[in-house]
Amino acid sequence: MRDDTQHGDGAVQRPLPNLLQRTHEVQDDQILYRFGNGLTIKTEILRKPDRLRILPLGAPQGSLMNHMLHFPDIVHGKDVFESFAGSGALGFMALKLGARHVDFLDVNPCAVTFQVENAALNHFLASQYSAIEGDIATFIPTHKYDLILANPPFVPTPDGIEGTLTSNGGPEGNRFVVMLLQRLEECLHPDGQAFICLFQLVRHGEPLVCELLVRHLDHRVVELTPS
Amino acid sequence: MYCRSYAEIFPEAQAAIARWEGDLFGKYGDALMLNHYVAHVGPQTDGPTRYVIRENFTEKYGGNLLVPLRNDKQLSYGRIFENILDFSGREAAWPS
Repeated sequence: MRDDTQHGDGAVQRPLPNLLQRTHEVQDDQILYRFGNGLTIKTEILRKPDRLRILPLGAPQGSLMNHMLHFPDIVHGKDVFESFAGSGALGFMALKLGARHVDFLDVNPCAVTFQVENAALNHFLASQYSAIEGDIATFIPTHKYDLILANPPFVPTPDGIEGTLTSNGGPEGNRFVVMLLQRLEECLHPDGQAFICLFQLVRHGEPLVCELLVRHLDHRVVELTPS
Repeated sequence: MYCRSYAEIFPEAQAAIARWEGDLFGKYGDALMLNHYVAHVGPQTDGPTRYVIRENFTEKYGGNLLVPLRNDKQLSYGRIFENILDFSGREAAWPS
């Protein structure tokens, strides 16, 4: 079911300031990002010729991290799940802002290595997170999470072009979004929330994901914000 | 634009790209656009699942955190480049 597209409630809204204060330095094929709140995240460069490369941080991740910085109550004390986690930037920002525990999941074996290194860089305890190598399609959660954060591979990619593990989203871009939505109610507490970065083919003003949301989610309201 | 950009960056895969473009157009029509979104899934309610598309990015996620691409061609190239394994020779196609 779709509500009419809304353009705000008519009130004058102020742009949310950027609290990230993000800087970065490149060393060989790695990037080290530093944030104003002390968080440090290591990724790999975009041009590393490796299908398993760890995606550098960009605007999609930055927007979710900035939202958490402004509204830390959404993560404070929460049990968080970051799927397609890569470096773990979203989950580690949640931990930095007081999340109780974060489970990171990624099918890429290199992601676990980066998550462990990023945890060490930020002095997080092993008891605060779990770095899990696995596929969202077969992942068996031991409990339901309060918050799910996800930046799935979303680049629409023709069959015949290999692409990267972190970006190839299949012919319509939603191959992994579908998997996440199919598993979301199993993983998310009824009172829980999720934030998902998307890149969408749009038909008549409506992204293709709309039909998937209605099909796979139970009794939820989803706000889609174009960026 | 997006399919054309793929063909410019991967000229050796023209046939596969043309098949893909034809499949998309056959299924969804030829007026497809592309855009980034953030989906915020809320807690369960008593009602059915519903969605709203709201133009509130700057107020909710940040005034200067929009994907920094100036036009459809740059948007297409920006995302496709994220998906490239071998950059050799492909950067010549980058739009100025």
